[in-house]
Amino acid sequence: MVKSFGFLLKALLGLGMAAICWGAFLYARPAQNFVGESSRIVFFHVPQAWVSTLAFFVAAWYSWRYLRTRRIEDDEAASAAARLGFLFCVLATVTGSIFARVMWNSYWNWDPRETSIVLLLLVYGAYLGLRGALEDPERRATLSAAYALVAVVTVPFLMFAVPRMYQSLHPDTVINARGKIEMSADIRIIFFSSMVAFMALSYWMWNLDRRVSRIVRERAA
Amino acid sequence: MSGALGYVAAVNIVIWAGIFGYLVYLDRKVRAASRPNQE
Amino acid sequence: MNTPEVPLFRAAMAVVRRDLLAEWRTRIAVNALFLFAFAVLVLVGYAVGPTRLAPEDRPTVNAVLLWIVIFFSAMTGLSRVFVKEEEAGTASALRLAAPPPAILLGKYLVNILLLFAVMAFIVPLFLVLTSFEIKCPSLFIVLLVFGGLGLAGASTFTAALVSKAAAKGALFAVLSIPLLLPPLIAAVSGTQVAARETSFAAGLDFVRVLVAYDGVVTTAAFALFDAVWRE
Repeated sequence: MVKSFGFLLKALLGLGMAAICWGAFLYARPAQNFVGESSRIVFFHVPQAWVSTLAFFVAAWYSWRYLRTRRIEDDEAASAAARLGFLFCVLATVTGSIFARVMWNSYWNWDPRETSIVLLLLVYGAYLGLRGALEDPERRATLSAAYALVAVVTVPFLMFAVPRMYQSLHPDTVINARGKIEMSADIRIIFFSSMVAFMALSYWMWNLDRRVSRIVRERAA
Repeated sequence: MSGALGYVAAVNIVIWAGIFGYLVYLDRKVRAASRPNQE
Repeated sequence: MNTPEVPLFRAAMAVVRRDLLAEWRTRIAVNALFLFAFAVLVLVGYAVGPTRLAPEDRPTVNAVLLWIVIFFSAMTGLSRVFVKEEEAGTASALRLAAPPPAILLGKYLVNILLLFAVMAFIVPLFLVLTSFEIKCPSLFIVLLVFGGLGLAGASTFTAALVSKAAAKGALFAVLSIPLLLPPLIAAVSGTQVAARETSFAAGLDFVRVLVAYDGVVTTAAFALFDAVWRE
């Protein structure tokens, strides 16, 4: 059964997110090795990229479940995760590009991480495009599940093999600086709160999408 | 500088409040829609 | 499912033979594919012919252009194996005639043969038309082989996916591109190395990525094809 978020939790999320917005700009200090205030984008960009990647694996998981159980709820969960992942992937790509402009003075550098997020975007686009082209619900569920699973086995290549190939050609300009190497306490607390908040937010949105799918299906029956 | 940051923080909070409000609205609508079908 | 008790490989070869015979009789699709590849090649060759690029830029640019030509040819030609069955109405008969793994294997082999044939035609011409010098031919050939296998493998699977969908042509490319970007990047980078360096070892990483990718995608495709193929 699809349970909905408690009202208290949602209120907590709302206040928490507002607090994170405040903290991101007015409490946390700008990090070293970043241009001006640009490190603040990390509080938003990294959780979005993380959620987007997580959503992809969730979609793959439910795709696998669907192929085993043939329950349409599993397909609804997978496609909800894909839609969510796509949204956050777009956000992550855009925020990343803005950051790149400020940090390295160009909107796009084909740095390994940037390439990976664009490839993820393409995978999401392909998955959603496939779903859009198939009308029969079972066929749509089966074929998109199969595609999601093939795509998920190529992901290690996107995420790990390609960047490692590039490291032999280019220096890794990006995100080692934002890693956990030197996060001061104020940054750390906002960062991890933001990760938690974005995950909670996306979980809520995922649930809503699933419930809507179920209602649409029940109404149509 | 902090004036500009305050401005950006305020904009963010407003955007977030809007998104939050919309999600709560959706949530209520979905809950209402799922109730009569099951009774 | 009442399929005859024929060994898998023999059933697959029967599929291959049938497809090759059908293609050979009409030759329409194959001709179109070769013509397309040749047309793209001429365009590329004209734009970056021998004198147009500085020698130090040639490995970088020519490598990527070569694989673009190969990739576009694959996108043009490799979906036919499944799409034509749907269009001709022979898909149901095929379902009864052989078990799913044999069908996938057969179609995969057909696509491999087709792609390798196109590559055998295109690659030497490309090297000549763009004056593309390859310092390590053995690495280059290995990349072509495993890159081609990867292209054929992923494309055959996506061809099966789109065969029953709307907008097959566009959707085939849309679905294939995300799956094919990792091996293409590896193949292009490896080709750049093959053009510059004489040692095979310099490009070994890229070969490894290609081989690993080929294995992974082929396995996944065979595992999932059953679900895809059933009605």
